[in-house]
Amino acid sequence: MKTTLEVNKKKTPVVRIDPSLDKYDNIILFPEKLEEANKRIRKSGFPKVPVKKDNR
Amino acid sequence: MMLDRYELKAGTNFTTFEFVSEGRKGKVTKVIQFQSMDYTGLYNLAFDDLMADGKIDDIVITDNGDSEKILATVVAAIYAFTHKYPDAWVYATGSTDGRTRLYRMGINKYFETVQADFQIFGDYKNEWEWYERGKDYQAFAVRRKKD
Repeated sequence: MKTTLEVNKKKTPVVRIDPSLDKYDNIILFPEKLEEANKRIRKSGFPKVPVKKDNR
Repeated sequence: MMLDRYELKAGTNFTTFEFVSEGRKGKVTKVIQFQSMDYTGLYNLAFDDLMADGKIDDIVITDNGDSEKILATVVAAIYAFTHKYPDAWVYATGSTDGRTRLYRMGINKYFETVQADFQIFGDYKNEWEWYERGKDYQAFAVRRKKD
């Protein structure tokens, strides 16, 4: 494990970098969840800012 | 954000995170993964238990009595991920209705905090709209607000 990375310049939590987790980079850990998410997003489409006037 | 949460570890690319839940059933390692979806720039938020043999338990409900702390930790991971990828959309839907309800409860609980930094949308009957408390959304999407 390497050093603690300070990413907390603005409300972002301090996270410890652990290169051992890089082994998951090319692995889909939860394939069923991803498949379900893609299935659902095909119905609703890419998230977009709703047309309704809103200051959010 | 000063929520009580677990210490987070991240891979170099900030797409995989890990933390250890500690509760009435002992220590349980959890993995969070931001998964690239069919739409470019859209990432599915998925997390679950990592078993002792290194495999993922995608089914179990640990019920370790620390769901609020876990939710706060997941929120922290979203902050960290979107710090690294500020243009990314993060998408979340539960693998069961119960889990979707859990996500909804989490968003409601931290709504004021999170809304200051994110745009939050809900998928209601296959239409995206601004997130409102009390609606039974099937999925959620957030995007970091620009400074």
